[in-house]
Amino acid sequence: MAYGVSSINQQVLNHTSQSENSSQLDMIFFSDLIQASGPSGTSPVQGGVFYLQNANGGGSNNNNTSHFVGFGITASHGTCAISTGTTSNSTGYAAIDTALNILPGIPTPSAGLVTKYEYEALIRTDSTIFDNSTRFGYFRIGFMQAITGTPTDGVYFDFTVDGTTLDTTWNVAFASGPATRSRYNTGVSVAINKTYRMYLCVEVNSAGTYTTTFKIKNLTDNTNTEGTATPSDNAHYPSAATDYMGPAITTSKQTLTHALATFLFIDYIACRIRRPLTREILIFS
Amino acid sequence: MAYGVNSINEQILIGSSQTENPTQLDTIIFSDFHSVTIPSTTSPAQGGVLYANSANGGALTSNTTAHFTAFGVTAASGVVSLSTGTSSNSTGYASIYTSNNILPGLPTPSAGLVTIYEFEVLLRTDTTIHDNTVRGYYRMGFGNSITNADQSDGVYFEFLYNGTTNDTTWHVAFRKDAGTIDRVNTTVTVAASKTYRMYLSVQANSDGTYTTTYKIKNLTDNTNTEGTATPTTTARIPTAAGDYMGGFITNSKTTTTTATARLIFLDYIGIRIRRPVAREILIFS
Repeated sequence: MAYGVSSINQQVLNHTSQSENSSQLDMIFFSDLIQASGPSGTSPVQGGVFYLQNANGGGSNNNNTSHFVGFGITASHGTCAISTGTTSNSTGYAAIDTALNILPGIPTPSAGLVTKYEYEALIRTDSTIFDNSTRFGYFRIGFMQAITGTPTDGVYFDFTVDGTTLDTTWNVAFASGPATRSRYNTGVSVAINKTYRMYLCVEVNSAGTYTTTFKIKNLTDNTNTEGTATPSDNAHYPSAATDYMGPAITTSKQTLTHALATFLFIDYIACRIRRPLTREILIFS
Repeated sequence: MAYGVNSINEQILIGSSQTENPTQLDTIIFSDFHSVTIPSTTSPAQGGVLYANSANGGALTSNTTAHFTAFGVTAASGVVSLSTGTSSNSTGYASIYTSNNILPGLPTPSAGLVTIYEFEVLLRTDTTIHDNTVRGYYRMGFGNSITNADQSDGVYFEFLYNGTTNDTTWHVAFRKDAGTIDRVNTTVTVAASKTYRMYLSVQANSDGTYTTTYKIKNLTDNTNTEGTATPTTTARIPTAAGDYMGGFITNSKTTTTTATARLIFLDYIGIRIRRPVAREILIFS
């Protein structure tokens, strides 16, 4: 079979649901971010469902050759930078996300099935990151209900420096409602000029057992860390039907006014969703 | 097989990378131009990463029935036209392109692998083409210019009529770092009201041997010409990491002021890239 082609239908299955099980949704979103312009708030990123949200000076920059070189031209394909911007404020942000309510809280499936929300991104930090002296802010990557403020519902990687929280490592944050939240420290350092492959998987089986696994590969230093993240209480999992979320990657200033832009470079974004969904699409059958 | 994927590549290959070899990128970009509106500078054409660019009166139209009929309704599906426009100037142009720096100069792969950049388009010439009265060019393939400016780096088909170069046939042009443009004559005649399937492949193997092949099928006259295009020196092939390029097709006026438009019609554009990229996407594994 010719490379790059595996079946006649390949063009129609992007971010649509396809499953051999009619009571389950299987779906992938992917963008390699190779598009010429944008992303914008009205024009989707390649992949069709990823949009840019930005405000207060935050913005994005597509396929800048220096970012391509930063990743390595044989280590990436298509890049997008999101930036908090140089406007003097504490609110500049930029995010790439789907609609933030396309996923219900992680539903418990029926016997024999499993619910899995997976998020993966290949990212690179710039020559500066958030710090406790001049630039407060955060990187968040995963599933969340909001890309600014503190997500009410979500499970996501979090690196926050805001004067109170002074992260030096990637954490996994769990949130189900404003007060029911906790974080798990992965122990993986966040440093400048590093390329990280960030993978997060939240799953629940039919017995109601939740498991969150993470895999963080620092490709710059060739270290790989895998583990299981647990909230301090299972009630911190967004599991109610109305705990809506979406896949997102966001960077934002926070707390302290400054005019220093902080960048996060992205090579690709991928999400894979398996969850209960009872429908039968005849055209795919 | 991993869930969310029913054959390994199918869902994620629109402008994305997927390969069974983690040191190699395989990606396809394709548009059949079924979009209601033309590709725009902000909203990608169907296929997600192909954009339009036009200026100085140049313009595009999408799915005009006369163009569909010209191809033949059983020979095409979705058409777009590129017109140089009726503004009185020598600069009107229209193009469709990917980001013009998503591809590095043709990299030499490691042993056992191959780098291949392929470009294909099904196009139809109008009842008139560029000539000594209405001068201009058609170019398509890989290059770094998305306007009517010459390609500084590129390998592409060219039909140029500017009073000095007065082509009657398709050529393959090679250029690196804005140096000498080295052209190879395919000897395939370019004529009005003809449908051509234009295929160009530029490849490099691990010992640094470059091969450029072309296949031009004139479907109107049912003739097929295949051959190898070789520049006078391989130094004309864009091979350096900084020789960034993208896929493109441009129809432009040149040299002489005219208010007469020249059109070219496209049924589809396909781009297939195989090149060294060392990354492993967990969600597709």
